[in-house]
Amino acid sequence: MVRGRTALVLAGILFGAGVLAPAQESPTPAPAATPTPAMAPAAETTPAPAAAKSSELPKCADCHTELVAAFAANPHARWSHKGKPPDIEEYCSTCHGDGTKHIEGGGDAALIQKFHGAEGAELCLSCHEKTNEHASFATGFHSNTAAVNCLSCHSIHKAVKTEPFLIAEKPGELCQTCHAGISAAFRNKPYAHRLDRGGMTCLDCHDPHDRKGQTVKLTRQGELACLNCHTEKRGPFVFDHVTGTGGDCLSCHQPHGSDNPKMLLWARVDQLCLSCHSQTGGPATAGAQPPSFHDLTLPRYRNCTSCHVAVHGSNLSPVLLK
Amino acid sequence: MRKSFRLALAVLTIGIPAGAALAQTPPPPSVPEFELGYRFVDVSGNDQMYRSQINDRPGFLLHMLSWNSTAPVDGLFDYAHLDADDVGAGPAGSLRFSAGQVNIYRLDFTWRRTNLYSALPAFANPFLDDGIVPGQQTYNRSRDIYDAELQILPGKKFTPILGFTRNIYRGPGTTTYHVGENEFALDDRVQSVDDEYRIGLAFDVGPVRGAVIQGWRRYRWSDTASLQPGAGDGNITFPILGQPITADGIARTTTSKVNTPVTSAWITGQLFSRVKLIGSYVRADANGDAQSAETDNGSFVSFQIARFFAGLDDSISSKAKTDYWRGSVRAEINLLPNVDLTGGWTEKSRTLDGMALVTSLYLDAVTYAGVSVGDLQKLVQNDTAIDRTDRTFDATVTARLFGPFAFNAGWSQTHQDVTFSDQSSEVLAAEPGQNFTRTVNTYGTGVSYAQSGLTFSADYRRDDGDQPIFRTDFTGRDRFKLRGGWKWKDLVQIGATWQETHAHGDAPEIGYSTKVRELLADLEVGPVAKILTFHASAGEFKTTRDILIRQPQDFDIVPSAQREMGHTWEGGLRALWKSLTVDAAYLWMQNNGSVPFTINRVRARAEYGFGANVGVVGEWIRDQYGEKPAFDQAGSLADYNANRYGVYLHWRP
Repeated sequence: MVRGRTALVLAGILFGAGVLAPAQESPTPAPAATPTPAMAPAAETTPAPAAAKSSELPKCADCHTELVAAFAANPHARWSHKGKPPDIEEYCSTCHGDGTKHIEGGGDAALIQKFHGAEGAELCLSCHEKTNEHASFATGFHSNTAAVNCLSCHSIHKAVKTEPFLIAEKPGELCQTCHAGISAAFRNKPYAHRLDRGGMTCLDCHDPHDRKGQTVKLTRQGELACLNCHTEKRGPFVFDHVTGTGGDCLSCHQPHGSDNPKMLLWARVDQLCLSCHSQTGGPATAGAQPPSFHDLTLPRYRNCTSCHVAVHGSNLSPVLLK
Repeated sequence: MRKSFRLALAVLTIGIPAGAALAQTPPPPSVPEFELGYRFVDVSGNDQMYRSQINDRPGFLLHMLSWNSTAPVDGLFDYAHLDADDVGAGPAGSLRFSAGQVNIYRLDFTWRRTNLYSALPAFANPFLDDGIVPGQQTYNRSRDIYDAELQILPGKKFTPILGFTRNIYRGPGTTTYHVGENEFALDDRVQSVDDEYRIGLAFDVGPVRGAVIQGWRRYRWSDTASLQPGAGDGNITFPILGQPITADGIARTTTSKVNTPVTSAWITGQLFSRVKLIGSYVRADANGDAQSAETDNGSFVSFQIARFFAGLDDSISSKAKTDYWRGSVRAEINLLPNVDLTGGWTEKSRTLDGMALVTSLYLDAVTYAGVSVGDLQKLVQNDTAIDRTDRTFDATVTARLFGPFAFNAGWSQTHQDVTFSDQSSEVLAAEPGQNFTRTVNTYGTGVSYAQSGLTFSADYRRDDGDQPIFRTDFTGRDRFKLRGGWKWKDLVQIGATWQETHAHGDAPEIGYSTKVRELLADLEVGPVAKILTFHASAGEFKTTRDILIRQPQDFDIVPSAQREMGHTWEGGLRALWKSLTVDAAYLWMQNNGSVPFTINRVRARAEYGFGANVGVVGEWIRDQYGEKPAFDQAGSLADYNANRYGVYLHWRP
């Protein structure tokens, strides 16, 4: 306890020192400098309200004034300037190439590098060709094709300002463009995760750059993404049930929205449980047969979890009663 | 002490630079964009069902906030961003902050709160037929997740990483407990805290990139449960063996803790110009301890000891240990320009060793013949073990050779091996010491096309399994997916998706079969560009699940079926006229399956702008939910009509 209090006091003193010491040296804060492209904020997506001086903007700004001024706040502007005097011509030419002919041609759109479709996205991949243990920008299931490419989801100049990674729309709306059926299930079905309401998005469970056949994110422990939030279901439990044995959360639940309470696959809990817990012959399968006192004609036995409350696993009861 | 010390360390870490920076240069004033106001809620019908499904709460609400720094603040950050989503009344809100100095540090922080409510009419409800709702298992809890990650020298060759995540789940609820051959309604309260500390190093050296992260998880859980007032008669109100089974008191406290060191590493390396290798490894060994103490008083019977008894002192001490690892090696090979081959091996292994020592002291035990035998003590030790291994090989070819077309084709094989020990959880294995193996081969192909506003894609996958581990494991499964769309300028946009899955098992004794179909078509028409847009969609969803079950009461084998047969119709408009914007939509949904229901939903939002910066937003959301009577469903007891009205101030800097 003494050690903790001492550290708290020390922290307070140091915090105070941090606040006070420079203040004594400079009691009147200097006014903030007018932002220029060189020192403009490297904020995620939002244009800087203070526009850069036109004399300091690249030639492109003569025509594309707002576009170029706004680019000062783009993350792509951030990297080209740090630690060296800015070459503001890089703003545009890095991606669009030398615009001299375009300018001389009176703004002829055919004389400048533009970004459309898979060819345009190839330029993104020349810098962003990232691969890690799960994702692959080059060969993931959203890899670069004419139908789906970087520019299908990301927008360099018209990104949503409240979202990171320059995405073109809010995550749910964006994914809905192609995955309309799944999006409709989230939006319409009576039992569903609150997608795009309160911060949950498709990206909590899915990595759009993942490889084919591996569409669900894993936790840092290598489990299904469900356990990132529902940690109390992780265990380990002495008396394990489905999670981690043969099945997983999706053996019983529909995370994309369900007509059934608790997002279950079946409307009646006993029918869900008995789909595994029945021994009807055929190949040997996991799942014990309930004894005969479970009379399904009585309401209390039609909902197995009335007694088997610890259905996700228990440390106390071999039959998951507590 | 440890808590105070950690708090102090946090203050030290954050406070010194923050204090210094705040004193040196105050951040230039900048105003966030935000939408702040009040939400009114008016529910008629079953409020608990409304809360279980939607749970929008009345109160002040920060609908959205977005703030970007407008200039660097020397010594603190080059860039900073803050946004918030639905913070306040609930049921879910989040806040995200990121800041950094280029090439020096990057800090990301998120907080998310979710209010979780469940009080369903038909769930865990033995008295539904008597019109009593809700069921006996309910909760009203919250989950807070905090996550912070600091990267030092991001983008450099070596980037140290520090991270911390806390997940707090807590709140009251009600549950049931089966003891003494009756079941009783309990009040219970849970609190769990899951902390993860992590430290690591990312590297990016020439053709080699990767990261090594070491984390420590520390999970703590506590649960206190006690008999609900007036619930002493239990759910079984008739005598058993001639004696009423009642409880005067039930009290149980359970605590558990789990410590888990987690090591993860991945590395990628570029070989020559066309080959990339990726390796990854995760290891997590969890050690858990749980303690439970329970005291019950009343009039009970136990078939296990063939006695009546007047009280039970139960104490349980248990330990569970899992060793988990997952490794993979993959290659990405660029065979030809625009033709790639990817393939690899993934293996994961999980072993569980558990032990529970149960000490039960039955007080004042009496034989069925009425002979008192005093107190009886029973000790049971359960030892459990599960070994599971999954091994997967896969290969995929993708080709983008023919202009607007792209093709892919792939194969994977997964082999699963599960062994349950002699004394595993009684619900798992039909026979002790069972071993199950299963191999699934998956073949898939897909094509996509995009040109002149027209897009199309088709995918097909076939899975073949040799034998089931669970009865619902398929031996054959086909998955079809078609998607198409056409866009003409900003005037017309049409899209349609069709997904269908057929799965079945070969064993006629199990009779397993599932078909799931999802169809959706949508149309958007904008007759006046950026001024007026109409949109409409129609959808169908259909599910049939069939399997044979053995019903316990007579061991007869009978068919079991789940049905979902529904349609949705949705239409709306978006309009902008001078300072007024309107966005409205109506949805009608009907399901005629196992849970027949209808939903009528209205979403309407209008904003009127006063000048360039200020707008006033009015919002109306209505959900009408109605269930038709069906076997074991609540019928009209579940119905509700919920209206939410919001008034918000929208500030746009």
